[in-house]
Amino acid sequence: MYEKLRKEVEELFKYAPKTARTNELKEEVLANLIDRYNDLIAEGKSEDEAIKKAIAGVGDIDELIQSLRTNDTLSYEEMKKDRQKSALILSISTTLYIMSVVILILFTSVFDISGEISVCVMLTIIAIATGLIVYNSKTHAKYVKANDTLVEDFKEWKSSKTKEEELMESIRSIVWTITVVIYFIISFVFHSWAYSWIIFIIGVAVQKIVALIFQMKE
Amino acid sequence: MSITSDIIRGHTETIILANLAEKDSYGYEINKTIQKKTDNKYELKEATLYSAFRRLEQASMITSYWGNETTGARRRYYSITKLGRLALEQNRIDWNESKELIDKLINEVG
Repeated sequence: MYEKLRKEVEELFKYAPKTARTNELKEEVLANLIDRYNDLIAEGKSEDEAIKKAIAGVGDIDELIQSLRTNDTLSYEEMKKDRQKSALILSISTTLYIMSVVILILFTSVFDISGEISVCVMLTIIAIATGLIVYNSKTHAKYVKANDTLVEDFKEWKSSKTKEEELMESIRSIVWTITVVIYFIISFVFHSWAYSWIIFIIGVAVQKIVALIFQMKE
Repeated sequence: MSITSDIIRGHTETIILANLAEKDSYGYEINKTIQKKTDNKYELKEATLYSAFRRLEQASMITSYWGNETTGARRRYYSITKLGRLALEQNRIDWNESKELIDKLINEVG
C-alpha cells in the first residue's frame, strides 16, 4: 500500500546522506504524506491528483537535507562535554596508579599487612585504573565524516594520526629525561637507592597527566 | 499576503509551541489545525514545519516519540517541555508588546 508515495519520498531524499537520521525523517515525511493523501481522497480527489497535491504540500526541503549533512557530527557543546568526561576518567585512573603504590608502601611499612595481600590490593587498584582507561578510549567520540568523499576520509585519518603522534613523542622524551635526572639527583642526595625506583612509576603517571593536559588544550 | 506569510513564517516555532501546549501532536495534524484556525487563509509548507521541529528539539523545547501505527509509516509525535512552555509564555508577551507598539507607530495619526 502507498507504494507510489514511498517512491516519491525516496525521490525527494535522493541526495540526502544515508544515515539513520535521514531514515527517521523519511518515515516522518511519509507518515504525514499518507495522512494528507487520505484526506484528499476523502475529499473526492483522484489518486494521481491526491499524490500530486500531497507532494506539493511538502515544499522545498533543500535546507532540510543540508542540515542532515552538517548535523551528523556531534554539536560543539556535546563534544566539549564528551572531552571533559574523558579527561575526568583519565585523571582518576592516573591518580589510582599513583595511589596504588602509595597504598602498597603504607600497607607493608605502616600497617604491617603481609606483602602478598598488599601487592594484591595494589594490583587490583591498577586493574581498576586500566579498566577505566580502556573504557574511556572505547567510548570516546571521534571525528565523524560529513560525507563519504575521499576528502572527508582523509580528514578523518589525519585527525586521528599525525598531530597526536608528534605531540606524544615530544612529550614522552621530555618527561622521561626529566624523570631520569630527578631519579639520580634524589638517589645521590638522599642515598635512597632502595626506594627511589618509585620515581619511575611516578614518571609514568606524570607523563600521562602532561599528555592529557596537552590533549585538553587542543 | 506576502508580508503576512513572512511574518507568520517567522513565528512558526511559537505557533508550534502554542499548538503543542494544548496536546501532543504530529506534523500533518498541526498543519491541519493551523488551516482550520485561520479559516484556510494560511497553510504552512511541511518543510518549514520540519525545520522548526528540528530547531525546537535541539533547543530542548520539545521532545518526540514514535507512534505505533502498524500500517504504512509511523507518525512522529511531539510534546512540549517545561522549557518550551516558558519560551511560549515569553514569546506571547513579546508578540503582544510588538503588536501594541507597531499599532501605535503605523495606525495612530498625529
